[in-house]
Amino acid sequence: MAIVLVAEDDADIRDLIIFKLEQTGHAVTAVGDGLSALKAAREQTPDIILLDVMMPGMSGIDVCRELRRIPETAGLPIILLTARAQESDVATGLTAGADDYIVKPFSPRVLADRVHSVLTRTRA
Amino acid sequence: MSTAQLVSLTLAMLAGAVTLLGLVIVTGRALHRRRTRRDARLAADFRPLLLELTGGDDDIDEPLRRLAALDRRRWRAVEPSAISLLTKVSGHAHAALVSLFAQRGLARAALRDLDRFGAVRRATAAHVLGLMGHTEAAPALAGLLSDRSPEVRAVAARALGQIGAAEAADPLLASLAAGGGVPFHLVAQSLIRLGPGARPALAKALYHPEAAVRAVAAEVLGLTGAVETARVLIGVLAGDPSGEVRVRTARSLGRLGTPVCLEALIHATGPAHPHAVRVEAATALGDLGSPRAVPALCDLLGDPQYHVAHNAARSLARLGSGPAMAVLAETVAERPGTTAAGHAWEALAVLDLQAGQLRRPPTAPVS
Repeated sequence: MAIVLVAEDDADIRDLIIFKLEQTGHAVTAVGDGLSALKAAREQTPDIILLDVMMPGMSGIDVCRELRRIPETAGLPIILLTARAQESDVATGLTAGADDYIVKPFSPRVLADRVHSVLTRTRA
Repeated sequence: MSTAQLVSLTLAMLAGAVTLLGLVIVTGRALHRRRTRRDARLAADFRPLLLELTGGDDDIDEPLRRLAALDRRRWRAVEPSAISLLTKVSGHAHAALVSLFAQRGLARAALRDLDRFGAVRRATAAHVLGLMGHTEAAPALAGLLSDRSPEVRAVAARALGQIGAAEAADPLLASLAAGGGVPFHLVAQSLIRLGPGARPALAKALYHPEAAVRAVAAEVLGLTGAVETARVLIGVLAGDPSGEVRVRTARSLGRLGTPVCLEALIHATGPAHPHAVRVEAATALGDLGSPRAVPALCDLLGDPQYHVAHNAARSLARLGSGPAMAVLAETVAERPGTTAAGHAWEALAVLDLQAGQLRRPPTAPVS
């Protein structure tokens, strides 16, 4: 079981991710924008963070960059959620310090597997 | 009846009509609000079932059965959420929703709606069929590419791409001809989604009488990495009467990146070719990623046409290999004051900026 922070402004996707991750035994905290994600990450120190790239206020890439800059969140595993049309953002995201990325539309099963795999890798 | 009485009566009737109209509007809005609230409540009630269906593993039979059995009123409340989710999920979750829609008879209804008088109904039906990937709808959707409504044509083009039936390539390409009823980028995106099955139609379209069709075909072949068509594209680059087609072909050859593309692109940078083709060929030589392009790009640094020289320098920087970087550095050092040195310096400065560094201006002034 891990504590997962999900930052996603689309309610459908957010609810689906929460459902899937809770079903697989994780505890999930969800927020709808980048600034809230940053605040939640600092306050709760989750085990892993899922960040949507396109969010109001602060993009997922900016949040990722900021989290890597702050010592207490610098080592947290981060997965980016990106739309197919923004695949060019993937390189930017990985450069910003993300550990993995998931392209939307996404398979909830694959998402859960990726979370598991990144957690296993980073905990090893 | 006197005139005064007539005016009074008319005013009274007008006031009555306005009051009645006001009542109808207020009642209509109140009913609409009530229905929206009720639908939102119903949708919220059934949202866990939808999430269970899309987020579940193999145990989706129960949510599927319950959602498929919803009465009309409840389904009307749930349907927008279900369609919205369909656009956001893939794989098993997408298949589960499609299965639900099939059980609800949504595909059949949408196929019927493709012939409706209202453009919104036709567009919505095309959208749903595309999201469902309903292969049987492809011929009917191809027919909508010449629909009287531009919105319907656009939705139909996108839906054909989502369905991914290779036989849609011909009608999609044909929709570009004669002024084109569908925006180019939508047709191109859909053709890309059709995958390798569309390549024979795309290769044939390189000889279409309409330049717009040839241009999109050339572009899509490059974007989809159709390396087997490189030689055909080389022929198009050399001999197509349209500059636009040749520009897109040059771009595609750069994307394909096979060795046979190199000579054709070097040739296309020659002074006999139109400016736009030379500019694109200079960029494409960088896309190839081959060190064999370095000597040709080096020669282009001093080209009198600004954009040709500029793109050649950027291509050398993109190649990033030892010889390419050496050419740029040597040009800055050994040809100070020339435009070639200016282009080379700018390309190196951009690379430095990307690495978070600021390059110092050259000591000699750049003309």
